[in-house]
Amino acid sequence: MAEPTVFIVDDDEAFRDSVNELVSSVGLATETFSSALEFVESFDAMRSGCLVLDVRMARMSGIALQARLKAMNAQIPIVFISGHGDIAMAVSAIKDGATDFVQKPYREQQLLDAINEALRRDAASRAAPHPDDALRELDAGLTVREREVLELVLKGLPSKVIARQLAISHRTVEQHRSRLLEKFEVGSVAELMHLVFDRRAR
Amino acid sequence: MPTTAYVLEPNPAERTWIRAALGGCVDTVTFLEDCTAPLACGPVAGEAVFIAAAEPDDARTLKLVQDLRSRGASLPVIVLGPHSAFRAAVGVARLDATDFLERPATERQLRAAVGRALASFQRRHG
Repeated sequence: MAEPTVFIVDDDEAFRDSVNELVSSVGLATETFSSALEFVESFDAMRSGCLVLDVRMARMSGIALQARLKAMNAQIPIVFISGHGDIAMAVSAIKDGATDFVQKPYREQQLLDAINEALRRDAASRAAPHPDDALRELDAGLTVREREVLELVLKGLPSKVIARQLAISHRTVEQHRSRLLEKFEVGSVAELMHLVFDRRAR
Repeated sequence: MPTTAYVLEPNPAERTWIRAALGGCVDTVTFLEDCTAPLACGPVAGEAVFIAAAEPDDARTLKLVQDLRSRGASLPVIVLGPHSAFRAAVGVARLDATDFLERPATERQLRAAVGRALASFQRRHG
């Protein structure tokens, strides 16, 4: 399994950098985002990890992002950080599935403990039987390259563009597409997209 | 079905406020004398909710609720506590059928929380 990543979302650059430095210092992989929208645009449910999220941000708040991820049926564990959080907000965020709600100022170890717990939960949920075992088994039967092609196909990219992105030939992409249709037992890319999006949305 | 609020609150003034707030909201308000009492409550008749004032050492309150749940008690729990009990609030929120109200809470907030708690009790126990 790929190394988990701690995704840090905060529109305050100084604070984002300080959290990044703290988390990186204990050997965890990190990615930072300056807005909730930036995170949503790059979100990949297949990547293991957790989300460290500021509550108050312009345009889309942390709470709004939590609601958006829930609507997407995303399972990524969330650790909220806030200097303004009131108890009602924290209770609501936890009831809505957040792993923890850390109030500033916090001890560094408190945040690290919260992150480690979130990563533990993510690993446990990925190891547990998934309601959609059939899709997971199929996904497990794909090669790394096939999985890469699948994700780009699901984005609606033509073979020519996929070939360029993956630095492989157009013919090779077409071969991977055919194999994907066979493995998923569908007759077209449209059926494949419908199958995968429908299952992921559950 | 009769409704009961079991309340763990040692402060007499707070007891008066809680009794007044819950008037008309539940049939009976029973004040408990110590934190072992909720664990000895046993099966309750009708619908019930447990209201606990967060201890100065709010870890004890969280432990009380955790002990209730670990013994299989599904009674909805509302914890009343100060803002300094933030970590206890987060811990309580992780448990099923719980709520945390920050003090000072209004009568309306307490009644709304009790209403939600009793509704959840009814959903689970039919």
